[in-house]
Amino acid sequence: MYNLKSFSTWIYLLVIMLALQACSTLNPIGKAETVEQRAYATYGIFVIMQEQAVKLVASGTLSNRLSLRIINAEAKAKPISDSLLEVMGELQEVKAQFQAGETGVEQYLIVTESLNNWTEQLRPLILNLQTALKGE
Amino acid sequence: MNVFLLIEAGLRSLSLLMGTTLSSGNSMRSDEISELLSLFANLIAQGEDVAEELRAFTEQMEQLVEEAREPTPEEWAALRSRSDAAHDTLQEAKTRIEGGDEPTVTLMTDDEKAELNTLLDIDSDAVLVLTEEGEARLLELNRKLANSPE
Repeated sequence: MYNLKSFSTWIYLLVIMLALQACSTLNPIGKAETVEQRAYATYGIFVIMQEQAVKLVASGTLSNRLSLRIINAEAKAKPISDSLLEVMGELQEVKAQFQAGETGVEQYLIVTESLNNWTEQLRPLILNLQTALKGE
Repeated sequence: MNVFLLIEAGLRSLSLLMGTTLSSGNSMRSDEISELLSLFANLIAQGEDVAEELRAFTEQMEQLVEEAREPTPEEWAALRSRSDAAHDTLQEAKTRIEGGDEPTVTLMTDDEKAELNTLLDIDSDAVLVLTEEGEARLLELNRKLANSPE
């Protein structure tokens, strides 16, 4: 006798997995050339994944266990993405100060490096969320 | 070639095949599998949404690079707004799930099973087509089926 609940979930997740794999050729991060652009591209992909998570959880076709797994993966990534945004805010201030001659290039480089670090920290968490969305 | 249309066509074909070759005994459950496959063929459209979003965002990045500029504070703020909204929605869902908002467990009645068959007209030789109303009803019945005891 078929276990319809898990079978239907499996089919649904297979569909989403195929769709996400079909998206693998779309690479916003690959287009970026600067640290800020890379940070923005990475953050943007996270937002797209967040919104996909919302749609999936709201669809009513996932088990509570799988929904919670997706929600928890998103919750792990959110603080890192918030830190990335904070550093981005600092960078914008430093750039303004640098352009006004109020700070040296060293400070600009330090904050840029920090932004790069937070971007790198966010990436595996996005992959983790994508894995949860695939139901793996 | 639109990969999503191909996948959708494949799932619809499989659904029809299962509907016509599996029968009798507890054929209702086999039909339900077939009908669920039809449902998920329609859900493939959601995958297209993700592809479209990624495509649009990739084009936005290409434009940034072409214009040799960094994202503006407004562009960052727009993404942040979407992120916060999505996060809040997911946290609300978590509260509902963990807070005991259990979905109503209801068995599918025989009338609802018959309605499911009628909606999809599974014995028909016609191409399987769902109206918008049919799709909505199918989603509702699927949720009921998913929440039924195993």
